[in-house]
Amino acid sequence: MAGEINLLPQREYEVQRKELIQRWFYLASVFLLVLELLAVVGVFGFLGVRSLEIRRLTSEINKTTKTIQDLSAVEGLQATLEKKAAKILSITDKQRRLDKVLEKVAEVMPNGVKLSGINLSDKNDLVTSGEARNSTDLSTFLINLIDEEKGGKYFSEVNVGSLASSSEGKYSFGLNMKIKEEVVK
Amino acid sequence: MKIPGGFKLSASSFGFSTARAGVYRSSLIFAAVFLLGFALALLVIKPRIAESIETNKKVGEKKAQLDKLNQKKDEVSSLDEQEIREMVNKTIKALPSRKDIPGLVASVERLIGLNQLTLSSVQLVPGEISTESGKVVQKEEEGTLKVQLSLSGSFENVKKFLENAVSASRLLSIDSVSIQSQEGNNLNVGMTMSYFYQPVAEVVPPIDQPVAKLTDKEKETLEKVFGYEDYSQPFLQASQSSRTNPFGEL
Repeated sequence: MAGEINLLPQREYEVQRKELIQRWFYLASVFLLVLELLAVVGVFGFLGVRSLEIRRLTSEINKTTKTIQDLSAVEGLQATLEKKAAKILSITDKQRRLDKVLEKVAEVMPNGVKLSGINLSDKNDLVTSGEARNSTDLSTFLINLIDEEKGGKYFSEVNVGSLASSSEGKYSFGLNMKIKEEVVK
Repeated sequence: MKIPGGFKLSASSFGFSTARAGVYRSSLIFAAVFLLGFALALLVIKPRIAESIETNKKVGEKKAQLDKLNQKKDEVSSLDEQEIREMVNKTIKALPSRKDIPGLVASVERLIGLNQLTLSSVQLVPGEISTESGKVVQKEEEGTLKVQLSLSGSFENVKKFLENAVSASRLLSIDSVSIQSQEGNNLNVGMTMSYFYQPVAEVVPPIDQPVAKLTDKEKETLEKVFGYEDYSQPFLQASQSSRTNPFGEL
C-alpha cells in the first residue's frame, strides 16, 4: 500500500493554533488602537479643557483689573497716605525733646552752681559753661552728673573741658558730655 | 484527491495555508497598529504632554494672579474714600507737599508769641545754591527746610517753646540749640530747626502691587500727630488794595 499519511489531526491542531494567534493579534491590535485613540483624545481633551480654563481665567482677570482700575483714585489716595505716614513716622523718630535736657541738667545742679551757656548739638553732644560758688559746689555738681542714680541716667562721657578759679574762690568751668537717647525721646 | 507520490491532499491542507496567511496578516496589522502607536506617542502625544505641562503651569499662574487681584479688589473696595481723603488732608497739614514759607513763618511767629519770647531774627537757610562757576556750595537735605532763629526770654518760656515746637501739628524738629544767659533772668537762644515737606505725586500703584497699608506704628503716630496743637495760621491772601505811591508813608 502506497504511503498514506494521515496528517489531519496535526494539521487541524496547527490551523487551530494559527487561528488563535491570528485572533490574538486582531484583539491585541484593536485593544492597542483603542488605547492609542484614548491617549490621543485624552491628551487633546486635557489640552482643550485647560485652554478653556485659561480663557476663562483671563476674562476674569480682565474684569477684576477693570474693577480695580475704576477704584484707582482711592488706591492712589491710600498710597499717598502711606507715603506721608512713613515720612511722618521718620520725622517723629528724629524729633528730640530738648526741653527735657534742660530739665535734667537743672535736676542735678546744686544751688551753688549756675550755667552761663549751654549748647546742644544734633548729635546729642552737650557743652555747658558756668560758674560755681566754691569747689564743694562744683564737686557736688560733677559727682551728681556721673552718679548712676542721678545724672548717670541721663548723661555719659562727662568731661571737664576747662576749669579756672577766681580770687574770690569762685570756679568757672566748661563741661562736655553726651545726652543719652532715652532722655530726649 | 490523490496527488503524485501517493500522498492524499485533504481539505485541511487548504485551511492550514489560509490560517498561516491569516497569522501573517494579523501580525502585520498588529505591527502597523503598534508602529502607529509608537509614531503617535513620539510625534503627537509627547509634544502635547510638554504643552499640557506648560498649559497647566499657565493655569496655575493665572489662578494665582486672579487670587491676588481678587484680594486687592476686596481690599480696595473696603477702603473708605471719605475717611482716607480726610486723613490725607491732615497729613498734608503736618507735612506739606511743597515748601510753604508763609505757613512756616506764621507758625514760628505764633509759637514764639504764645511762649512770650522775643524774636531777634529768623533766617531761612537757603536750599541749593550754585556759584557762577556752577559749583554747588550748599545743598539742602531733600524735603527739609532749615530755619535759624535768634530769640530771647525766660528759662521757663524757652523750655515751654522747646516742648511746644515738637508737638506742633506742623512737624518740625530742633537740630541744635545754644543758650546764653544774660543779665537778669533773660536767656539768649540761637537754634536751628528743620521744617519738613514731602512732594508726593498722586501715582496709582501698578495693578500687581498690593494696596499700601499703614503699619500699626504709623497709625499710632498719625493719631498722635493729628492731636497736636495747630500753631499755623491760614495762608496769607493776596491784597485787594494797592498803593499809588510805593514810597509813601505807611
